[in-house]
Amino acid sequence: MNFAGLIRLFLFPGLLFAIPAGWFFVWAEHKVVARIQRRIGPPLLQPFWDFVKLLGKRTPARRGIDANLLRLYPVLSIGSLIAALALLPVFPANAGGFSGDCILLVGLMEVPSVCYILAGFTSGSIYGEIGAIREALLSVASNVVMLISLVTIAVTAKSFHLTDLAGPSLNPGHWVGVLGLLLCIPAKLRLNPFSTAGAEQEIYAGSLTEYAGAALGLWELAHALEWLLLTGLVATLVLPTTLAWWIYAPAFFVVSFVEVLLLSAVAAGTARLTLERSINFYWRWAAVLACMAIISSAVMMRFHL
Amino acid sequence: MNILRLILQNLRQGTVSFRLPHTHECTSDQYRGLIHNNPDGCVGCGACAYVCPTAAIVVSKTPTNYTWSYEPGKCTFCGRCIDRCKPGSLSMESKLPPLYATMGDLDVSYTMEKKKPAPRPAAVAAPAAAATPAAEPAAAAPAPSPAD
Repeated sequence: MNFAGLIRLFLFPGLLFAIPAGWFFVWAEHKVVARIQRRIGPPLLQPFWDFVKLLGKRTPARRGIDANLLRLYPVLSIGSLIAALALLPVFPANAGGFSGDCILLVGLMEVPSVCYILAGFTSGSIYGEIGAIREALLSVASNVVMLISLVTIAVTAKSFHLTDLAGPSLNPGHWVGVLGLLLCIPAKLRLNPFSTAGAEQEIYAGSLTEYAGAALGLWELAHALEWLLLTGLVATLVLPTTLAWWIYAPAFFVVSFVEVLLLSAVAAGTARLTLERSINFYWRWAAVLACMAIISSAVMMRFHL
Repeated sequence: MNILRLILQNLRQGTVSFRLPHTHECTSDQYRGLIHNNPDGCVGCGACAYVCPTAAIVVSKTPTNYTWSYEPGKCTFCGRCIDRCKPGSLSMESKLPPLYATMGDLDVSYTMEKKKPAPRPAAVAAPAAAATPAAEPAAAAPAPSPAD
């Protein structure tokens, strides 16, 4: 790995930046939802203190559950998310990555979702199993749209190299792909209106019902990193790649933050859809939109428009 | 789009919750807060501990002393102890309990010598009421008539 790759893994947007930025985004989400509900909301450092508090708690031993396996899932999720963040083309001028890294990014982005599903089934809780089933069904529906959207963007850029995909494009297929990605983010983050997998009034915490202490803290951290990864991916697709790094880095943060505000406002202003309606939305509307975008992009590419 | 109008209205109207610790009182006179015991009035009968549903109040006795202990962490603020306190030594604060960081910070315990129950207010009133009729004739002595 070259020097720029190490910086992306450990500094920006990797570990050093990602953890505080992820917590900040989680705080912003809670704050926006609170303000829309006329509550004052949590203080700035609340996600950090929540994490510290959870780290200090003991996890009660449970019979019939493999505790090591339960601890492994959030660790795997965090590892894959940090690796995925390191792939984001945040220094487009310094061409990093490799041809086909977009496919690796998609794979790494799926690891937390798979771990969440496995955690639900491993927990031995009926609520965990229901949450895992819901997450699996919703993942299938939203992933189709996400994959088609990414492929659409790749087709317009004629490359699966993330550095080539970065930045705005005149091709409308690029923007339809970005819109498709934005539509998938609430399902990936289990936000309203697609929050059936962790519907707290129905199935407690879904897959995480049996989690407590440090393992739950790690899941919270993984969720914060998911926020940064998904909003950061969209930010890299819309920010001009010609910017100097010292302008690009704050702009990356600001664009991601604006996405957080928008998604949080949507989450606060909408009710939870049933699983059937959520899947219908992705299969019937978002998938059709994404398919139209990829077909139009392919036609434009074929005729060199 | 009613939801958009509602969101904008909520953002415009500001928050209705407070940041802890509270900067001002937000309780009414009927608020059920911490229990206070006046050791001078308490006779150590243990009725409060007997009716306490969560054992937040415990009264332990020796031949000469009794210890009255109160653990607010267990208290549900139901007020049954106040209702059953015959000497009227228990009272309830009408404000929010203070924040505390360590378990047991608000616990209270008194060790007192045993004493006989104070006479009930009704028992005090009864002799007074009994004495009143005797005084009444004097008080009701016929005043000089205007004709005199």
